[in-house]
Amino acid sequence: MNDPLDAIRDTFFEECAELIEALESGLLALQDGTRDADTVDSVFRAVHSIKGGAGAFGLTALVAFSHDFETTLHALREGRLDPSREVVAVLLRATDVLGDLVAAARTGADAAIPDTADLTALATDGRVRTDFDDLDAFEPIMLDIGQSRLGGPAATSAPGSAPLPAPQPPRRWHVGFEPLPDLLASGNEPLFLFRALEVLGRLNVTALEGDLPALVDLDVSTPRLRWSIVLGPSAPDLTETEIEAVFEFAVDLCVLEIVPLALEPERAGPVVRPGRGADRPAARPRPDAPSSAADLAMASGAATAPDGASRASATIRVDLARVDRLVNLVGELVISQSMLAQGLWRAGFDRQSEAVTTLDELQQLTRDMQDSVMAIRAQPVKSLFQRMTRIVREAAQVTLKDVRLVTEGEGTEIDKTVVERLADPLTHMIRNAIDHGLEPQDVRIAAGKSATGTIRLSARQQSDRVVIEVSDDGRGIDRARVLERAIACGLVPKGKVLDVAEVDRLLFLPGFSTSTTVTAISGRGVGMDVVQRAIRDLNGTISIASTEGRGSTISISLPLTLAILDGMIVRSNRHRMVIPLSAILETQTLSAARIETLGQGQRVVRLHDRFVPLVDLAVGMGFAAPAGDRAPEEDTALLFVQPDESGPFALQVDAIEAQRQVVIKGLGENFGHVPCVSAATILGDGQIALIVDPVGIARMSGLHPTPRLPQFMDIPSQ
Amino acid sequence: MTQDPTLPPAPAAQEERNGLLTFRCGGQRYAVDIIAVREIRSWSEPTPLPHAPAYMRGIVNLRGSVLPVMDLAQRLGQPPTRDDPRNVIIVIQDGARVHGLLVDAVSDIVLPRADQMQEVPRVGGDDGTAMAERLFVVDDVMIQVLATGRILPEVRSALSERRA
Repeated sequence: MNDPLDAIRDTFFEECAELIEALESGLLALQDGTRDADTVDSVFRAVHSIKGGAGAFGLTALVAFSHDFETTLHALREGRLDPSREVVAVLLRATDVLGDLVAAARTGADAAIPDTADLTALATDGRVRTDFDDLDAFEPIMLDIGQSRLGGPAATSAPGSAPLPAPQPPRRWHVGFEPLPDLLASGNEPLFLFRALEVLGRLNVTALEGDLPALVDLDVSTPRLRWSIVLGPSAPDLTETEIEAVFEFAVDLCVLEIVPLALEPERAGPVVRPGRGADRPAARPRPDAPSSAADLAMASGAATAPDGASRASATIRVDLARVDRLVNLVGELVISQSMLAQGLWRAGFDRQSEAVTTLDELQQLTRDMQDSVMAIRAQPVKSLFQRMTRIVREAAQVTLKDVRLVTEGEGTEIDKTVVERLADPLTHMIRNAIDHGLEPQDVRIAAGKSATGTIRLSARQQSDRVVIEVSDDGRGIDRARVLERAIACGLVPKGKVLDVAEVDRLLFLPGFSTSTTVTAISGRGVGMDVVQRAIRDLNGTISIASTEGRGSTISISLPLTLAILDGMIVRSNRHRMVIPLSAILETQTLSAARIETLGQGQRVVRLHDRFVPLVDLAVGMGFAAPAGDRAPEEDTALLFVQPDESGPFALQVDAIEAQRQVVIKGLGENFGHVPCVSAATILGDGQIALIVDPVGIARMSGLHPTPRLPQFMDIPSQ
Repeated sequence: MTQDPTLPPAPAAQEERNGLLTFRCGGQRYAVDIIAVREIRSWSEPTPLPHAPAYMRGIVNLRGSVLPVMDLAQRLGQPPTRDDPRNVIIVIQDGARVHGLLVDAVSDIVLPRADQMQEVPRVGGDDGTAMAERLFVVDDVMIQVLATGRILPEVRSALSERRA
């Protein structure tokens, strides 16, 4: 652990992410017509907390913006502002900006102070700013960062200034703050509280070092100092509640006294008690007591108070590394347990013997334990889906389309890593759907559809996989055009006839784009092949379905976890390897297969009504000499596999040994990229087996579809 | 940089206090900094990796994690080490990377004096010598001190060069 402050900072940014999520969902609820005070309060609180934390860390840009944001939300809270659709739209854009500022603050990047004219207009007179042309109005605010707006009247408006006029001379407040013994232990720190308070105005802090014990009796984990603070608020309408909110998390752990002062502040509020220890100068802290108190807080930080858990919801924040360690350990347990089982079996234990039955129970327990540990890492896709609302908003603004996002199954849970790594592909798919899928409004109306396009984002669990779908009610895939483009790009020989599925698969070829014009959000050379690769890296599969004129649906099927894989353990040339079950279409015994040999020793085998290439697994992996110089064994079998991007092919293996779940062991830093291998696993006997990447084999064996199409060979008519 | 041979550089003297693990490999004697050695484990058959350089013998199970093992002799340009149950795998750590070196046998832990150490003389562009950073003589036998960092990163680049 490096600087403990960094850890606190990290926590702050994590909280920011959650707060922005809460903010966004609150605003979306308002947009949908919710009007209750709780929602408005939660939205206000989210921004307020971000402002407070930002103040504590001296993130001035963030403080300034969230202050203006807060002012507007304050108007909303007081009922001066009606949460109409337009108003919420501005607030949602402000949320996006806030998110950008937080991100910038986290990386330490410089963010120019954003334009807050929209917000201040709302706050002062409740109007949505309409004094510039439409296009400008629909421009997302985030684009304003770091560049001056061209032509808008907002260009010259001074950013970040508090919009409210001062109706009366500012009052001053006396804040008496006396920590109770548990304050430091609960992770609170007076210094940070004061910094948060400082956001509200100018502070005059006096440490009351009255009844301090002798240095030898001083317990570092118990706060001894009390403070008297005079606050000169920068916002004249500062309320007691706002001051109190700064101490929100410490309120049960301190004696707090907030008294408005007359213009001439009286020193020494009622909190100050005559000090008993004034005659013990040795115990007197130096004037920089708050910062040394910070050190004390660090020292006691390891014993963070258990009473924090009783507050709010019954969740705890756990370092992901600890969970991962647990996942690994349980994985080890599963492996050792199956090694033990093999050992017992080899030692000739009877199936009915106590040792074996107990081991069976142990197996059940470890399985349950594994499931439970995996569940810790599971996360609902809600946060991911919520992020997509922003993508939809922005894409809709840029394409000038009216888009509605409908989400389903937000509670579906999936591994945290998967959730994180899905953001990019989903973003891409949604932008594609809006840009290419949905028609312009006039076309939609002409086609008898509603003017508002619908993007549906759904998640559901299907046995041990999660299926995520992005569908639109747009024009669907224009397959004739796709084929035309593919021929123009040289991806398909001219005059070739492809079936519907083959045409759809063309969309996933690298370098393929139907869009002849490059728009701001798609068509920039990043195609669906990138999406497909990202999904495949997650052991997922992707498929597309489309009806012309009715829309398209792209489905992603993902494993629940990245830690376990269902695989078939096979043997080829004495090497044992694991083929992911998700890639296997079907298996055939060698005797049942119809194998033909083409020129150059290339073998093909019949799969239903087609012949597909046949590759010996060991040869494909580079473990054995090419050509069929190894005699087929008794158990030789063929596995038909289908990587997403190319047609199916068959892998010849010497034997299929078992089908089971294996614990995935990443090859990690030591290897970089190893062709034909996605990861490794440890088998029951302790030996390592490689997990085969069928795409890699296809590529290394020259079956990769680019630049040519999947190597289908039509069966000659008999 | 030229240095007075009677005054060995101070950092080297500092480093030698760590001690060196010496071992036999392909008929020669080598040593690595004992700090880099995480453990020494007995031989177990590695699972070969596809399309990997010849000196990469494969991967073995090191208490649940995947340990890559290379044949050090082959890496140093000598004939491959013969499979022998008496072979050992020296597990070395270089930064975040953990790697196994297949060698014939471990010999000793030595603590050579700074004045025993000698820079490796430049002999053409031989790869084998480039991986040693210093050498010293014990009982009339030359021992080359290998730079772990120089052995490992090249493994990676050799592999990534083969990227499709």
